[in-house]
Amino acid sequence: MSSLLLARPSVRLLLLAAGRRALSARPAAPQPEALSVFLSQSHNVFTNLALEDWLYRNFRFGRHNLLMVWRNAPCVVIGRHQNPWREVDTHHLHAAGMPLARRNSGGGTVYHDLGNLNLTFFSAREQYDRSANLHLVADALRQGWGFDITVNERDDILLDGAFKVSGTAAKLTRNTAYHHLTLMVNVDTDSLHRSLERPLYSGHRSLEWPLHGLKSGATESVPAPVRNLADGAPSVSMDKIVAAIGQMYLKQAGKQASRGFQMVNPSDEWFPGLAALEAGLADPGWVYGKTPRFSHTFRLAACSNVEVEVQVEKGLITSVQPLPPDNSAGVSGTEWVRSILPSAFPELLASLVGEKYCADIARRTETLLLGHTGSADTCRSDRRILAM
Amino acid sequence: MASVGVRAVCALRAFTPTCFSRLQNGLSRNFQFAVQRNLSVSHRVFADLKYTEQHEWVRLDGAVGTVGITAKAAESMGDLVYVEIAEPGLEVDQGDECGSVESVKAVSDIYAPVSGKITDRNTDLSDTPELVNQDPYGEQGWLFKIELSKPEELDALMTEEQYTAFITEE
Repeated sequence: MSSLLLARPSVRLLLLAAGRRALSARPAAPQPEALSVFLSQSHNVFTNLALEDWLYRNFRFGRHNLLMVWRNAPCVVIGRHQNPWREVDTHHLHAAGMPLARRNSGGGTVYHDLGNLNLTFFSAREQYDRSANLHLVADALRQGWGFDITVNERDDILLDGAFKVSGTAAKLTRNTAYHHLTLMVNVDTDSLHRSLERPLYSGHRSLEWPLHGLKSGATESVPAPVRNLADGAPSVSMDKIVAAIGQMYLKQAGKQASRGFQMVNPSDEWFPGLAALEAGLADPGWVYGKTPRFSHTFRLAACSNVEVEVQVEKGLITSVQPLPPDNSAGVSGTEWVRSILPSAFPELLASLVGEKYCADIARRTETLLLGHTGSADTCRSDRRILAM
Repeated sequence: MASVGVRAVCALRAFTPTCFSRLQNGLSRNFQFAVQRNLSVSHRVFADLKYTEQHEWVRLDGAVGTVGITAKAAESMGDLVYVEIAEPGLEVDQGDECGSVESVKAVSDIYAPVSGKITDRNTDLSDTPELVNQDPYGEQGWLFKIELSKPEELDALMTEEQYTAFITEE
């Protein structure tokens, strides 16, 4: 907690007020006495996710709760336990210069750009009420613009009963809960669809390596038709939406509880330790390495259609095995490859173990098996994707 | 066998005092030798369960404790879709984060109820996380095993009675 003393005065007051709460005994879901809206001035997804992290680690919510409002430059964010190679085309994201981030809360994959509004509701764990937050947002939109807004059983906010304009996810820790949701105000939907298109081909265009051969326990996204609030509603602008939702939030606990809107500059100076959190979130060991264990099976057309199975754990390849067909009793994968392709080098496949898995694994396997060298390894540049 | 049926029912709900007395009544109706055997089995399954405020339970067996989440926690989280536990070999202090579970509603952190070294984790949960919802106290839904470094920490944890009172208050 000593690091908090280095924070600027206005933030420090906020922190001290929250800290006093820590001395009281465990209450039964008290109502907050103060509410603030923080508007993050950063558009960097890693910085904003780090700020969210920082706030839940360093504040004790309960008496003073917080709504964080943030937007990101174009990027894609996957859920805590998702498989990025299954959810997005990582090569396409890299080519488009779009960062890929993994958040701490669960749920599915989302595309962010400046037309997408992110809202994070922070509270004490016992005050966590996802439904209340969603209805607050729905009420603000209905009252301000008369939208036909409903909240469905999956906790999605729907426009006109059919279009998803918001996705929700949450994280619960010992004392704190945060619930964040996206809101599509004015998103570039072409870019959204291109970015969230799941890859059918990995690597070479001339060869078919469908990723449906990917087996894992990772959580999967559930696709839904989306729409922007601004479609057909010209009076909608990001500033007005933020103002409407923010004011609705601040009014909840009565007029005297509102501490108003506060512009927040997420820097290490204001939030000591933020830079370290940001570095952790941008680290490929987190983004790719946290992928649950999975296996990927594919056929190599240039190698007599031999089937190969790759096992991946923590984003690293743990085994590459050619699979003999079911009717070849007792034959090992390597023997099978040698029998159908005498000039192949199945023993070279072992060199892939320990390497980082990447979307064009099939092409790399084919290259090794055929003993080809020198072809450009597109994966190497893929692995250097960090914050952009 | 009636006692097994009663035991299974108890595992599906929060463990309550009435449940335990029903178990005892059921046992007394059995044959003498069966009573001997059942008593020792039921003691091993339900006795020595201690609870934390984060809705986790610990069951001690020698120097190793088995840890899981309570039925109340599993119920409020909804169906689990992913369970992640720290690797065996990790040394943790009481209260340290040592994993997370994801349900359709939220990601929740798992905390070490006692200090020690994680010796084992339930690998079945990576393919079938819903085992935690189905059998939160038993052979299928446990989360991890920990070799206690400070067994005295167990004394400060809640007993089954205290935990029942704790969750009724909320």
